[in-house]
Amino acid sequence: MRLSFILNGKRKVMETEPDRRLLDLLRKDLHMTGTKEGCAEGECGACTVIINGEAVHSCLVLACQLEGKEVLTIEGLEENGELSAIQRIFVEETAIQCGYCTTGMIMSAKALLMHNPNPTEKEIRNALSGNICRCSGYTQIIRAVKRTAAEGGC
Amino acid sequence: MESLLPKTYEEIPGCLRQMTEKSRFIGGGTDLIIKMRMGLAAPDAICYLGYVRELKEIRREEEWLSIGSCATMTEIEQDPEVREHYPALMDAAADVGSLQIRNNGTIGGNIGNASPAGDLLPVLYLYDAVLEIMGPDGVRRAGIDEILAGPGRLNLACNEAILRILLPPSTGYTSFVKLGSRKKVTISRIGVALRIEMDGDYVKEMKMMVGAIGIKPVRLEKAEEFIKGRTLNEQNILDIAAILSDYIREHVAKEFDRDYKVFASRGVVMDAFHRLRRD
Amino acid sequence: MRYVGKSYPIHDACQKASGRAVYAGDMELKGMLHAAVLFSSIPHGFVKKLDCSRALEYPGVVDVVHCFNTTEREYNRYQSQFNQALIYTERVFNSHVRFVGDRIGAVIAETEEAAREAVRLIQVEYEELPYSLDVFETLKGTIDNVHPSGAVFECTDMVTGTMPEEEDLVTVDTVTDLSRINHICMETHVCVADYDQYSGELTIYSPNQTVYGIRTLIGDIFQMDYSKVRVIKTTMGGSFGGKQEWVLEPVAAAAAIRVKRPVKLVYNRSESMISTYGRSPMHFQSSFTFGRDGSLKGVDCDLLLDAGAYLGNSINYARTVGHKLFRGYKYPYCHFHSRAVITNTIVSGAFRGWTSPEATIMFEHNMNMGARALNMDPVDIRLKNVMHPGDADPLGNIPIGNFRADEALRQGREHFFWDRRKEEIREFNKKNRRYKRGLGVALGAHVNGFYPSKTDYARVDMRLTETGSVQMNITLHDHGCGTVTAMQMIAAEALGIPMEQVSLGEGDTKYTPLDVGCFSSRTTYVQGQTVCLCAEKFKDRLKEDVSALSGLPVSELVVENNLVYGKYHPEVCYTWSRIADECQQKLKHEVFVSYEYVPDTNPGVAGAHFAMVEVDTFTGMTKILDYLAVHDIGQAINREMCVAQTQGAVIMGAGAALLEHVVTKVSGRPMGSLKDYHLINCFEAQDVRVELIEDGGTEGPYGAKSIGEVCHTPVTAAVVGAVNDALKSDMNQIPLTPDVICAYLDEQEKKEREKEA
Repeated sequence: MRLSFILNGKRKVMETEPDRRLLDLLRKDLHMTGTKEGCAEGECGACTVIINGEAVHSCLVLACQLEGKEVLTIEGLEENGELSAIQRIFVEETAIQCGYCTTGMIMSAKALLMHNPNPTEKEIRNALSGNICRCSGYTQIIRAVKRTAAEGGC
Repeated sequence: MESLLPKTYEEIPGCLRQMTEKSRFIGGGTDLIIKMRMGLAAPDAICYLGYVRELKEIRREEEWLSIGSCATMTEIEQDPEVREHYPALMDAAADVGSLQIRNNGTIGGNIGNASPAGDLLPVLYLYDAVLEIMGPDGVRRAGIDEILAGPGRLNLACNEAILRILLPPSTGYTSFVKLGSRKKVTISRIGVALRIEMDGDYVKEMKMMVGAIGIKPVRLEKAEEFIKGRTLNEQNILDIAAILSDYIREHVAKEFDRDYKVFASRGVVMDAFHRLRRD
Repeated sequence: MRYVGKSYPIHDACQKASGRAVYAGDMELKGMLHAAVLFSSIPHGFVKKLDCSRALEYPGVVDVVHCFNTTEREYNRYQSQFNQALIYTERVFNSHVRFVGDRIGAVIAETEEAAREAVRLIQVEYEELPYSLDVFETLKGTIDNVHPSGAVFECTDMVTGTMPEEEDLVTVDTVTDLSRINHICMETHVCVADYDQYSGELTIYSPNQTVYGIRTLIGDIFQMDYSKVRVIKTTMGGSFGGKQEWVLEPVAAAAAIRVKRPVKLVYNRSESMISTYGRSPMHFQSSFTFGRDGSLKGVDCDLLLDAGAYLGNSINYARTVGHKLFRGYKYPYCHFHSRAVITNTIVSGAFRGWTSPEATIMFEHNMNMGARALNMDPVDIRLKNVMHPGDADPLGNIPIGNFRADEALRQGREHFFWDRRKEEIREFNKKNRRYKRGLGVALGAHVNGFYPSKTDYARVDMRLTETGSVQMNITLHDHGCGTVTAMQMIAAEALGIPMEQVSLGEGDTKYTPLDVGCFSSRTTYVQGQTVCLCAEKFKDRLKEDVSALSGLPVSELVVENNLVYGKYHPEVCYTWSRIADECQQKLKHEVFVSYEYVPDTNPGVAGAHFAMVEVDTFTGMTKILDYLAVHDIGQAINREMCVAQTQGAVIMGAGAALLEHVVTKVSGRPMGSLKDYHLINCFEAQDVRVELIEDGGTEGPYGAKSIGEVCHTPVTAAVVGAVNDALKSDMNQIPLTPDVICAYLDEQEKKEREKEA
């Protein structure tokens, strides 16, 4: 099928199969490997991207569901060639260890802050409960999201 | 693989005519895609209705609430009408999986998947949901129980689509509580949906639907009878829990965690009654 | 200190935050193919026939490697050293399949999708054999033929000291059962292998804990000269012990050698959970004897370890459990007997702590039961028996050095409000029928390197660039916890230069020095100290070179702030850049130092952990209300990373205590999904408080000791202890899932009803 959608702010038109997962479209067809596969069943959150403003698993979205939609991936976050605020703050707060959950975690956190610029800790924990981090106890991650909110968003 | 992607309401019947016994509808895809990758589903065509604007809408239709089958869990959870008049549905939608799943998964998909652990099902039974179904030749309506056949099975022809879920006006207090193996992002092991109408301190009428203890949501009529005319004191609630325990002991096979469910029904029943009192 | 003890992000944090970091699964090499493995669908039997014809016809398929066309040389996935004495039971592909998930073959194709589709087209004809899913079934003799070497392996029967002949002793007998758990690294298992038929060189890209270990094993399996096997450590998405035994590497290597092209092999989550390895189920029967004053007199422990289908590390693992019984407490007598038993289940292997947490779960439960029998406080009974500076590990009589377990326990008791909370909880539990609270404490101790059990050794090279920076060459394996940054901090501190002027990479057998790998919590203690000592030698070297260039004696030269100058002639002042340049131009050499270090200490390192839980006695769900970890770390190198690692370890260990386990169905099919295998997620994770006791006094860099494994050691025991305190129960069947707790409560209720009747 011919798919036309917005990827990181730019219109993308490509020939693909209707049952191609967005995750494969990104990683294998477009060589954008910042989005990770951790479980392929919507349990770990490593593949989280933002579609039409909402965090979703790119492993559970097919190409045929994407027509005309706006997809934002981790590769679309840098601003003027620099890390965006939320990315920089994740770095500064040592919220990154092995890093495999990081991009999905940042996308979930960004989606939250887009809807709710001043989330409570409980709201942050709820929004990130589908993103598993095996290295940390989430403390630095929560701190980074709070600080991003306090400093005016992502 | 074929993809059938109607963009408007008017295009739906044309797509339905192309569907075969091997074709599948995709809502959010949160279940179907996993099955396809495991080799448990190999459809010849998938039909995605999510581009049809009307099927995403949640709106009042006279005294009924109409929910488009492509409305996501998040949309349902956040809808003001749902929050005000169907709080058990809000609870159930809010308890589905993770936020990413709720942003993607749809009510139509939850029904279509027909999982015994489907979070929304006991609540749809609770509210006597009516489904609006379109086939190649027109639209019909049927109660949820007529359509739900068993695990993964619906009484629908391969070219029939669920368009809307219609909820009649709800009276009394309602609640839903699910017990999983952790607090968030978990599959339901018992889901209790309650509707109660009070007459002063006494229960005038109760409806109690329990999910994940049978192939379809179970209506616990014995408990409903028991509580009629009584108060909601702790002992009565514990007695209702005991009725549920007895039911599970008799009807659930051991390998479906029977012993645990028999024991834990007390906790989930108490929580469900507790949640009734929220407002 | 300028760097040590402060907090820095991991070296590649920006790459990871931007999505630019390249993990092995992200790699694309020219001409690269993809492999997918065909796994056994039966728990035990022989592959009689394989029909690959339909798979080979599938579009995009290049070839199929399998048990009938690939080397039959046997190996042990645990091997990481040359001539290591191990029992070899496993092949790259097995025709005698021994569990659901055993490797039979692999399809190599242009895309991963094609490879996976084609795997489904291979027809396998099996001859099924009886199977055993637990150690007791195996002990009946059900699968004696599973390996030529048998199914039951005696590991150790060890007596240490003598049992005091005293009267009035109290003995507690307990049973501990640990379920199989999985590491669940967020990065699933991946390997990329590339074979150049003209140079005969095989290159392996792998996230792993020892590049030299893989080189050795691969060289042996494929009969290759070690110089022709190059192993490069890639960015690692977590390991926790899960990437230190070799499962994908031999498969990817076999595939690459066969097609003479690069081949990428990615295991999905299910394959990673089922077909790599997990922590072994263990069954302990133990008996602890105490004096009336709480002093531990003797330990008698019998362990049955479920090795799974292949031996791997299990014999060594079962032995090492015994070694870990002497790292925290002092007592006069111990008898430890262990056996490793083959079953037709997921292979067992290393897990964070390498038997320390397992031994601690058993040990600390007995300490709790002892305290209960003696009506003592759980902290008191531990203080009564804990080791102190000056004590030695009785195995090899190795001094435990500046071991601060006693202080950690006391500090934790105070900062956790242990005594006050005990009272509060008593009141709370009296008033509450449904919710019960409890407190748990556990002491966990661990090691700092291999000394003296096997050769430990490290080498670091440093060289000076003409711009004045130092390039360090060291074989590191960063799991994602900041090893590279820690070494950079230590080097910058020791050299007295900014961190940005120190560069280093990770293990690559073609270039970086021989190294035994990132095991046994040795990296900071051994390699970090090597960095320190190398830096000292490097500064000496700078002085020698400046002396040769300037004519001033070495003894009068000072190295400071990127400069070398004369103590009495400050006008003789060389920048490091100038030294590099003049060394090349005038002295005709590169400023280069190589330093080798062989540690001869292995101090004790401890964590005292405190947990407060609330159990819902109606549903069996347990919530952690507060948690404090106090660690005897000597000196934190990268502080926040030590804290973050410890917090992660607590969530991991608490998960093992309450919900994590891999279930195997009666058919032998294991459950390999995160839908069934739950971790504690962000919503339920408590903020874990971490305190570090830092008073140095070790042979590690700046007095540092290990953290990454010891912080995981006491967790499960502390949480289990708290649950047992809440319910006044004596369960030690891990995990204490709602089902286990409810079954226990149900039993208790029945007993009470019987009593009443």
